[in-house]
Amino acid sequence: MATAGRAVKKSVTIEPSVLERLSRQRRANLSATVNESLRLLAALDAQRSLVEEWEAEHGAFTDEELRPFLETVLRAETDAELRQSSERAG
Amino acid sequence: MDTGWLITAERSPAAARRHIAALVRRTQILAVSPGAVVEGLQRARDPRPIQVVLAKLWKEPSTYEDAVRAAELLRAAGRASGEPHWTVHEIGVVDGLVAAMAERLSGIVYTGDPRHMDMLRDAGAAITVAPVPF
Repeated sequence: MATAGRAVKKSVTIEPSVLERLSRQRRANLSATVNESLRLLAALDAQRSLVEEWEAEHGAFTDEELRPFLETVLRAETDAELRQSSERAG
Repeated sequence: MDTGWLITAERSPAAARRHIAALVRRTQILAVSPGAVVEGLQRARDPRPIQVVLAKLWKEPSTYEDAVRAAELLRAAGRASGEPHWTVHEIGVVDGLVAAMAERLSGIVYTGDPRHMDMLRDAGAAITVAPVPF
């Protein structure tokens, strides 16, 4: 996703255990890592707002309504992981 | 997602939100390509419901590399079908671009109509085709 505007400096506190779990490349460019993470969180928040706005008007989705969609998403995750494992092995 | 997802979302806005709710629970981000936006808005009976959804989705640009890869996949799908000209026109440029974009992201394509993505996968696209229960 394209970025725009001037970057701003913010002071943040990061748990050492989180930093340790990052790859060397991620730690080497922490600003890029933080930007990428925040972009993904913002995207998730935007998706969530689509659901929340709909539910505010029409009522909350039940687990029963969500079940087939969760099954689809989980199956896709599993299939993608299996395919990628197979590609790495082959 | 592909154009079929957007078209189906126009017809079933509640189902589209349910799918998005499931994606949020699994921290998956639904990405849309410029080509799918064009086709989705072009084919929609009423573009407004699609515009509401598009406003909140991740917009992933198509790259030059996507275009080259899409051409490879479309040609491969054509050869595999035995009817290259028919296949290229049937599947379409946007489907090829969606498959190429998916290859460099999670590899998952959520679709309202899996036929074209299945053909591209069978022709060698490294994608998981996931029809949505709309």
